[in-house]
Amino acid sequence: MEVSMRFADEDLPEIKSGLYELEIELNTGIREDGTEKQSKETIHLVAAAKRFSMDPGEVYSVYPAAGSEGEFSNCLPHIVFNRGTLPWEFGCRDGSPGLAVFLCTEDEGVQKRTMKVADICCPKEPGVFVSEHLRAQNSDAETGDETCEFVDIPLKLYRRLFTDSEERKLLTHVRQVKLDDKVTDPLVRDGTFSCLVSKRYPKEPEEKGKKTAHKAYVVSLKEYEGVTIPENAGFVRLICLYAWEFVVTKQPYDFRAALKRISPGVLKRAVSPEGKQGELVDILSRGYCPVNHDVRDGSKTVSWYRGPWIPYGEKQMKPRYRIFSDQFYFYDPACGMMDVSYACAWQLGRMVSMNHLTVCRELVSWRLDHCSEAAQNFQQSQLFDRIPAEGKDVGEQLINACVRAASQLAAEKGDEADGTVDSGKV
Amino acid sequence: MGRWIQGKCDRTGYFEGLGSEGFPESVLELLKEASLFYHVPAAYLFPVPDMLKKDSLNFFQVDHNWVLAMLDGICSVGRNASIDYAHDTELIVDIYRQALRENEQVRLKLQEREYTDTEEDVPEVISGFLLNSVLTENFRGLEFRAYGQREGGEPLKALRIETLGRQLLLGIFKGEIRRLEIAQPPEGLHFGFHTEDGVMKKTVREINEGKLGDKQAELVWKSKEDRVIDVKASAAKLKEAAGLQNMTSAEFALEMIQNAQTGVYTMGEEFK
Repeated sequence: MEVSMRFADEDLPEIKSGLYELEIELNTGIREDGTEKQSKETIHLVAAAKRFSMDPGEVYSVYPAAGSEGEFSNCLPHIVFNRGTLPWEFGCRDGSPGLAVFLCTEDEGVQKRTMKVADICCPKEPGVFVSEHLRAQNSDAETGDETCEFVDIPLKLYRRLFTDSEERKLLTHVRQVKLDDKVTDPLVRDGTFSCLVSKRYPKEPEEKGKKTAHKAYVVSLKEYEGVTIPENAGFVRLICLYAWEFVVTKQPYDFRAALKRISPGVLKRAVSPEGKQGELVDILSRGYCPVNHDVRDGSKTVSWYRGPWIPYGEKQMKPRYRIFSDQFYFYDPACGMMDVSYACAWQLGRMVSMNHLTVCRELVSWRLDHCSEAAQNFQQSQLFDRIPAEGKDVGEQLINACVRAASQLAAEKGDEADGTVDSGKV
Repeated sequence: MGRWIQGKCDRTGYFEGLGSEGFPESVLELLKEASLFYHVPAAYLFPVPDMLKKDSLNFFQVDHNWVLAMLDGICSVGRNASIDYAHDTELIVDIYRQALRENEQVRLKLQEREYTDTEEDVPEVISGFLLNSVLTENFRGLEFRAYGQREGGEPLKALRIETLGRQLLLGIFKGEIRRLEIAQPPEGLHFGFHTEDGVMKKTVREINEGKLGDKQAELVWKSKEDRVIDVKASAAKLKEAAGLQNMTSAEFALEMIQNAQTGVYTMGEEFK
């Protein structure tokens, strides 16, 4: 299968978060005292955006997969977001994306904490450096009482992993794919994703059979843009928007390895013919299963049931309409058991319908409307059979029939002019 | 007491002139969904749990009679008098046919894609597969293409490709599947490299076709001890090796991603 994917270097949001000033000028074209009437107004707008947290639903996938174990030493871990614009929504002033993936092993002293947004800037732990820009701003969608996650990273490690704006630009890109052959996903609409890659690759375990646990953090670096961190700081505090873990071993783990483990076959229950009659083996291999059956009269029996997915092609029956599900029972006199598959399907359909009351109402009303329309048509056709008349439509035919009947009556007896009417006829 | 009069039950032509037009859209939607086994509990689909073994790919054909029985069950509500029965006998066949003919709209609607009516009749065979594997969980956005022939041919139309559980995935296609291709989701392809004599190397990809060439570029470490790559220097090396004018993140990604892998399952043969 050919992979069809397009890359883009950026997907900028329509508007960046921040404070905006909107100037409105209205030129009326009406002149008064030689000057045009004008009005001018300034509106202040705040485009608020989340800065301290991210909805986990924004994350489409991560590589290596969260919780997976395998040989990941020759890859750069990445995270894929559902929206193309996301990394630029957390962007810096120079237009570069503000997010980065920091990959760390468990023994590197990174501490992840949860606390209120308002408390981030007041570290209780000594030696933690916090950027001034982490203070709450007007353009933040979060309030000070909301909780967020952040990581305290040892300064030495921070300096190794920090990415400048040029590096962040190279490590963030947009992918666009076709949805035609893809699994339906309610969160995927237009096939545009953004991808953020780490610049550090995972650590291979030193010995075979050993494991190295890794944690990857998606951190926001825009608060540290142009900030000088003092050398005596022990840790640097960063907003952590997402984190996942994986383990590196010497065992190969990739798509092909997972495919190779799959055993293809036909959907049916594995049947061992030993000790079973030939007929029974035949029925079981057709996908039937014996199930307990509570019959309407209260007695209990065992019947055959088979779901809609069968291991071979079944001949299509002519559709027939049933009033109740028992009409779908098929009795096999040879083994004295019933096949209740279609009866179950019918009854399930009825239950599904009853679960959607609007559907029931509309269905019944459609049928009723049809029945009354058919009854009306039938009544009219009966009427016309008895009173034949000409006309281009039903209404005209009816009027003509009445006029003709009335004129026949008038011609026989009575005259409107002299006021005499035959009482026996009218 | 007057005697009972036997009603005239022959309603031939009684519903003449009436058609399936005006059938409620919401009911039709429900029928389309039900024909693809939405709203069907798992116990009805897998009566025996051991049908779903781990790391298995099981193919099946859809039993039309089961589906029609279910659709009839849905439409059976309010079918009380003989007139209702006569009405449904005459008019509802077309509705079932329409639901089965147009049920591919369900997937297109979920993906917000447009539907074009090809006026194809109800397919004689609908088949599918159930995949129970870690692939479903760890490779989100898997791609499936099913074919009616063992080799070549046009892909079959997908009616439903959805995850039913953490590792369980259902695929239903119009026609009989004789070959199935499972491809790695391209949006999840990772950046990778290989190491030769202690040097990180990357085979350069041709920019327009996206195919791997013969040239290789050496990636540069910022700190080998810390396993950190010098992104800017590596991008420059790739730019030089590929002979590119620009090197933005788009070109860098194209050069750095690993090739996508595809598994092909053909009826009557082993996995290759």
